[in-house]
Amino acid sequence: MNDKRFPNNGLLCAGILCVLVLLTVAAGCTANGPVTPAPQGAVTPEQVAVIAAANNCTDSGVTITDAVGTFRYTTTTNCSFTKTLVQLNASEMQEMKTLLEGKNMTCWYTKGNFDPRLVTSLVGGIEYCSGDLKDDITRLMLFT
Amino acid sequence: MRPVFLFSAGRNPFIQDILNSLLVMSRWMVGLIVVLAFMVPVAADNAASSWSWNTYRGTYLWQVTVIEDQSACGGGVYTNQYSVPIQYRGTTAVMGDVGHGSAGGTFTSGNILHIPGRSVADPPGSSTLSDYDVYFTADCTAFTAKYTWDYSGSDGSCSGSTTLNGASSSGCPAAAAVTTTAAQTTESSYAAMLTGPHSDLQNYLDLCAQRDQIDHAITAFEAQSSLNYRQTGSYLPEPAEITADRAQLAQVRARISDKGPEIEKDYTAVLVKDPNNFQANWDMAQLKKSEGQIEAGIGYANTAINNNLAGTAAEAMRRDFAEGNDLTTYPDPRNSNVVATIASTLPVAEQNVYGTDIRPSSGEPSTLTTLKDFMMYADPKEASREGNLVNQAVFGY
Repeated sequence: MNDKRFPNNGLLCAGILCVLVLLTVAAGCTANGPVTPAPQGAVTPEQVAVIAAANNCTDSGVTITDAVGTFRYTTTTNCSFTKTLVQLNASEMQEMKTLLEGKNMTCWYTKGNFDPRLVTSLVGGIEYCSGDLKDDITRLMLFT
Repeated sequence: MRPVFLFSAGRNPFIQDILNSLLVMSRWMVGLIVVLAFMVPVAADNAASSWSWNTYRGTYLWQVTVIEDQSACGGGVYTNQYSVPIQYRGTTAVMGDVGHGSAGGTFTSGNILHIPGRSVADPPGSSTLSDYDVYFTADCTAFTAKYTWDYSGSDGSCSGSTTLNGASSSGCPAAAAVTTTAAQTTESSYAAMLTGPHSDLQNYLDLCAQRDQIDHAITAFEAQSSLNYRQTGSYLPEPAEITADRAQLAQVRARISDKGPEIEKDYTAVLVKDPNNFQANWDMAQLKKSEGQIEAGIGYANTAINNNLAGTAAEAMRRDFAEGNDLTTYPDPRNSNVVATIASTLPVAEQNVYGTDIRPSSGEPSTLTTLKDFMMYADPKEASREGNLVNQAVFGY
């Protein structure tokens, strides 16, 4: 029902697809549009520093930009961690930018037991958090 | 005319008269039965022909064939079948989701339901639907309807039409009181039974959130005090607010201990009669999650997503989110980097949620896996509120 198709000419589609693939290969790059998810697993030195500060429950504040956007991470001596989505990348649809930018979530943990996924991932570990950002991310799971 | 006597009783005329009278009576009885056999269906037909849906209150389940003509969009003509509940409320009715979301309308006559035009999200764009009439047959076996739509999105614009053909073999509700309609009424009565426990659960989940907040404040202080002990050989003096927190935490935990079993008992009362009840299983998943019984919560979550209302619930939640945030198109992994990232992250993240692996089990409907993800990740109160959307949409509670 929601599967609109434009256009209906199979040969034309195949031709366009071949040209696009060739252009992509020739450019020596992979697609970099909004469908490319943020890479997971690679931990930067800045992220390592945030994770250490969180584990030690020290006061800190660091801003890091990754493939999704720019995040502000703050940790406190009370073993609380706040993740704020400052800005989404320019390629993100405007409605999502309006929806998510400026929102945050706060997570509690015990000293030495901070979940590093809260820094390296958009989803991992958020079950222990609360806030507008967490609420929106969980609702967006329904659209995946 | 004198009847022909077939029996003979020897020479006793009295007995012979009795036997012949019985024979005459039996002939009349046979005649009467034959006449009645023809009269009853006629009477039934007359009763059916007087049926008007605009006087009925209750939910009735239709099997609907949806024919969508997308030929002007470069597509084809697609046919799908759905089980669609229509909630009749006297002069108004709400038709369940036939692909463009549920829709309310008003009866313009006994068996004609008028549904006004509206705009709906139709990812990756949106569609404007025309108003249309639903024509029900008076024998309650069918309905027909057709509306047109204008689609517009990032992939283009086009127009098409959707035809609905409803069918039911259950008969009119009065005649089917012990079959389909009774089942629907029962389901509706369960929804009514759950309004009280659902409200109690909201208060209970507030208590759980309060418990977690106080508990964290105490734990954070104790961690600092332990650190101070390791560094200086003495613990920190306990501040008055932490002492007050300890007293309050004990009170909150006592209330949780009292209320939890009461609420669970109310949900169990429904689950005993209807083990697959969507709302009860959904809310029990949140109750167990808030008690830290994650495995039990997953069990209830799995039962909920296997209920035939789960798809309707997921769509109701998506629509609620899109409308509540003024989204003109549904976000998805194709048009949103954030959603693409969530989609690619979930399969790994699912391996450890509250320390438990919640990845899909065999037999789990793959299209509803993310509904379970939402159930397990979301704030319990938020999730409980969302889970009630389907009851509001289908049963009006």
